[in-house]
Amino acid sequence: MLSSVRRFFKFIHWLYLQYLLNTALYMLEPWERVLFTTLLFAIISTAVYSALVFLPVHVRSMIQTYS
Amino acid sequence: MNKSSSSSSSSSSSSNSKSKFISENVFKFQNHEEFEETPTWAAVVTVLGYAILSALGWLRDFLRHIGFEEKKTAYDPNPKDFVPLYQSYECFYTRNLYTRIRDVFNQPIASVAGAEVHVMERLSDDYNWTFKFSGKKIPSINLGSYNYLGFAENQGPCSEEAIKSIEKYGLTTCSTRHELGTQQYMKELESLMAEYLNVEDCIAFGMGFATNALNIPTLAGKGDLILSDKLNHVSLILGARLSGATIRTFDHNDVKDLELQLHDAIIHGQPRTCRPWKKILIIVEGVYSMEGSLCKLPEIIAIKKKYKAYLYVDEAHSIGAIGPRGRGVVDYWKVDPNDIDIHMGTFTKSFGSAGGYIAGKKTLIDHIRIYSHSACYSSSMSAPVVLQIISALNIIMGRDGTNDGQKRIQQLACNVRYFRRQLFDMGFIVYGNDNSPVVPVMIYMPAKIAAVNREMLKRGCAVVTVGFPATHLTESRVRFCLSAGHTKEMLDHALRAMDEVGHLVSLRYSKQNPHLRWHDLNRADYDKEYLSLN
Repeated sequence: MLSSVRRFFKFIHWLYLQYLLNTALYMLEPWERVLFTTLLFAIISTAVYSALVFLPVHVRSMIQTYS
Repeated sequence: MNKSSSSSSSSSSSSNSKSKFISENVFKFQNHEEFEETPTWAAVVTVLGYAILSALGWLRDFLRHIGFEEKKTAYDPNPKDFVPLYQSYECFYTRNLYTRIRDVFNQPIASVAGAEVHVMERLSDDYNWTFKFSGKKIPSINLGSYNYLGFAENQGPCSEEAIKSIEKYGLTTCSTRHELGTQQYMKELESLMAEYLNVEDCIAFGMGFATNALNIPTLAGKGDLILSDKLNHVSLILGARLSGATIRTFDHNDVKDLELQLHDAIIHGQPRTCRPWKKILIIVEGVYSMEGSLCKLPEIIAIKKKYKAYLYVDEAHSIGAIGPRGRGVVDYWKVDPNDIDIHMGTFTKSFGSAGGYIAGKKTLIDHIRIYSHSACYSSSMSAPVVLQIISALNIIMGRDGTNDGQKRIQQLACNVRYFRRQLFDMGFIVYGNDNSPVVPVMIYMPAKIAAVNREMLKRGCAVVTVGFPATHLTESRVRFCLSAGHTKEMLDHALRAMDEVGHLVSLRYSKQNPHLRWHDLNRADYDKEYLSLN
C-alpha cells in the first residue's frame, strides 16, 4: 500500500521532470520557472474558461442554423 | 540533413575468402552505417524549448540593460559613432543559454585520464557565473577521453620508456626542426610510422591541430580547388582558408555530390577567368568525431582516379582504432595506401601522446619538410612524448614480443560492438558506423544536455555532452568514446546508468527499434558474442 503510494509520487515527480526538461525550464532559475508557469497557467485557464462559457452557446446556435 | 542510410560493402566477399586468422574471425566485415531521422515531435519540442529560452534571455538582457540586474560578462559599451563589436547570436547564446549549463562543460579532472578518471566537483552559488572547488573528487568511468587503445596510463612499458627518455634527453631541444631540433628519436619515429602505414616517408609535428592548419597551405594555394566534406573538423577548415585556395563543400559522405562538384569544377574551371584549376584537393576524414561515420574510401578513390584529383585523408580518430590490424581506414577498406596522396593523423587519440603526422610519397614529405610553417617555426617534439609514441607503436605492431597490441585492438572491437548493439536495441538513436569507437547518442533538447551529464556523473560515468556550436542547434548529443581499457563490468555499469538516465530523461526516440529497458534485453546473446570474440 505504502509502496504504491510512493510509486505514484515518483511517477508525479517523473512527469514534473519531463515538463521541466521538454520546456527547457530545467536550466532556468526558480523565479523564471514561476514566471513561465504562471503565464502558461493563465493562458490555459483563459482558454478553458472561454471554452466552458461560450462553447455550449456556439454549439446550440450552430445546431439551430443547420437543422 | 538527417538521412537514414545503410550500406554493405561490396568487397566483403574478398575479405571472407582470406585465410582464417583469429583477427579475421573477430573482424567480420559488417559495414552498417545509419543515421536515423529526427522524430518530428522531438524537433518541434526542441525548437519550442529554444524559443522559450530565447524569450527569457531577452527578458534577462533587458533587465541587465536597464540596470535592474548586474552585468556579469564583459560588455561592449557601444559608444556613439562606433561600430558595435559583438552582434551575432553566439554572444547572446553564450550569455543566456551556455552559461546556465556551463557546469557540465569543461570539467577539470584530477587523475590520469585512463579507463577511470577522477572528476573534480565544482559548486556554484550564482548559477554558474563563478565556481568553487569543493575538494571532492568523483571517481567515474571515463567515457569521454579519446583513449581508444588504452595507452593513456601512468604505469606500464610506455611510461617507463618516457621516464627513461627524460633522463637521457631532457625535456626539450629548445629549437625548431630546421635549426638544431631534429633528434635521433624523431628520425626513429618517422621511419617507424612510415613502416606502420606502409608508405614511403612520414613527418611528425608537435600538435595535431597545427599539422592540419599549417600544412594545408603548403599543399594548396591560390588557383587550386579544395573540396571538403561539410562536417570536416575546424583544423581542416582553418588550413583550407589559410591556404587561399577556393573552397567548395560537398554533402557529408555523399559520393554523388562530390562527383557532381568535381564534374562542374573541371568543366567550368576557375570562377572568373574559366582557366583550368591548377590542382584539385579532396579533403575527407577517416572517422568523423561528431557523427561516428566512416568515409567511403573505395568510392572516393575511384572518383579521384577518374577525375585526376588529389586525396587528403585525416585519420585523427581512426588510426589505431579501426581496421583488423589497427592501421586505420586504409586497413579497414583494404585499399592500396599508395592511392591516397596524403595520409594525415594524430598521435593524441590512440597512442596516448600528443602531436600529428603527415605521410605519403618521399617527394611530398621532402617538400613539406622544407616549406611547412610548422616544421620551420614551431619547436620540435619533446622526448617523453615521442618515446611514448614509439613504445606504443612497438606494442601495436607486435615488435616487443607479446601480442598485447593485437589483444588491445580486438578488445576495442569487442567493446565497440557490445556497447553499440545494446544501446541500439534499447531504443536510443545512435549515429554512425557499427565499427566506429565514437558512439553519439542523440538528445536534441537543450535542457536534457545538462540533465544527462549530471545524472550520469551521479551514477559514476563521466561523459561528454555536446550542443551548439559543435553540432547543429537542434542536434545535441552525448558522445561516448570507448576504449580498449574498458572491461566488460565497466561497460555493463555504463549501460545500466544510461538505461536509468534514458528512462528518467526519456531519451528513447527511436521509431525503428522497440523501447526496451536493460533488464528486458536478452543478456545471454550479448554475453555469448562478447566472450566468443575474446
